[in-house]
Amino acid sequence: MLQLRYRSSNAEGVQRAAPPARIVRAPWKASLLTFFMVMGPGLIVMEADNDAGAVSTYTQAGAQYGTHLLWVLFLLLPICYFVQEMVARLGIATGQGHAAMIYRRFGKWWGIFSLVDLQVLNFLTLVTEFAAINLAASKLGVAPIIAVPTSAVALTALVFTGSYLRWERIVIALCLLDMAWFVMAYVCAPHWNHVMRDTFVPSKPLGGFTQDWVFLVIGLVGTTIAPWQLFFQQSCVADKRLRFADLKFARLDTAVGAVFTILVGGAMILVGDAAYRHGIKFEDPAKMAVALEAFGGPFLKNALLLMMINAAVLGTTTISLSSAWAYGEVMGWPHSLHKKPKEAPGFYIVYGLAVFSAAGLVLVPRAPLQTIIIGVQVLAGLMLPSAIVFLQLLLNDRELLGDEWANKRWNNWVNWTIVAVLFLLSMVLATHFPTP
Amino acid sequence: MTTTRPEITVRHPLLDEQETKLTGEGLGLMKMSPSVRAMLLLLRVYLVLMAGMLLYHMVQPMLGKGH
Repeated sequence: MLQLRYRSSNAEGVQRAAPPARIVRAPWKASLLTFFMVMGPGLIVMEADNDAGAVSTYTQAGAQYGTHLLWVLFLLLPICYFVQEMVARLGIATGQGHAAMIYRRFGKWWGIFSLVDLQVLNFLTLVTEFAAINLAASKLGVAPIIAVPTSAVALTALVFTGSYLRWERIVIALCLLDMAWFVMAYVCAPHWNHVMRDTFVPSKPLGGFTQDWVFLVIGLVGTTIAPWQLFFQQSCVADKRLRFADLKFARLDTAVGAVFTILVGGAMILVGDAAYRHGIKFEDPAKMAVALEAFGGPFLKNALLLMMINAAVLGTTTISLSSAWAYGEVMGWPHSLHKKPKEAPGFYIVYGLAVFSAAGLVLVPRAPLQTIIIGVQVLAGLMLPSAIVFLQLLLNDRELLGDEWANKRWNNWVNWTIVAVLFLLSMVLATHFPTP
Repeated sequence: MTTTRPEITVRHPLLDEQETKLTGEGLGLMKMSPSVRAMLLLLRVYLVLMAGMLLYHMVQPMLGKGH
């Protein structure tokens, strides 16, 4: 028989931080207010996915193929919504994180496998985030030995305050800063008729369907949907204690986040497209920013470098949190942003270790960063199908969720199709691994 | 004559009374239906295959250098 757990009251720290109840008369005002209170996990998980790796992949797509690959982003919009909606639904229904659910329902072996898989992939991804901070800061004239440790300390301070809401508000502000990409895309003066055509009509790339083109498309998919996102959003929804009635708002939050992240991703491609039109050879986004200064002025260069850092900061805080939440869930440790470090030491130690070890590795002279960057792309591509399979199986667990919360038949058709496509792309990736 | 609409109290999720969630405590492991069993088997095969591919691509350049 299903045993239900009831937690009777809010912690004192949560009540201290949360805004007071509001009284309104118009139902639409109540809905709007509730949406703003619920909003956060969906927007953050989507926009944080536009991390340093995404900046690199999207600008590379633009710099090598112009606006040609915009249609891939358009196709990815519903896919990232469908996947993350399942995570939000599972988090609201169970009030628990993804790692905890896998451990509890599939046993120790799969639980540990998922955790180790997530931790390894997250650590490698964090190294790429700090590598981007290193690159961008040096082009801005700040020495990496100052920029990287300062970022690590600031990122740690951001979560160590013991307030979920404070962390969420700061991170949402950082997400909204990404609107600067729209200004940068506008400054790059793309050919808007090409943009419209390539967004909705796939076409054969100049030079044909080469292996590089296939890898870039797989890279775009892997950049837009990543395993850590599943773990992050479910834990975040659980930590925010979203209620059953909040599901429709959580869905809207996820949809808004999906649209925003795809639009920002599109803007990144348009910035890369400027390099393509001016014949600039792409090496990395920081070098591209410097080369674009001749055409877009210092604003474009500085904005691109600063947004690279912003993307890396967003990616680092969310990825490290997904590691810390998952570890805490599986180990049974207290794991919440509502708790002070002394109340949840394991949770904060994992977060701090993830941040500082990745930052430290970046500062090691001759560290194999290029191998790590390629390793991240390959590993993420290979591990994503398995992460989504568990999600899909959990959403079909009617014994746990009942008919109300489990996937409907049409959900399953859509999601199994996504799983099949991801498996196929992984097989292509596996048979043609890129080498550093 | 004017009618007054009822008041609606909007609470932040963190301020609201917590709900009873479907935690599944006491349920134990998921029942292995044939489709779940098949999916997990497929996943194992996939992971073994991918590990093999990864190993092959790592070893192949070293063997190539030896010749």
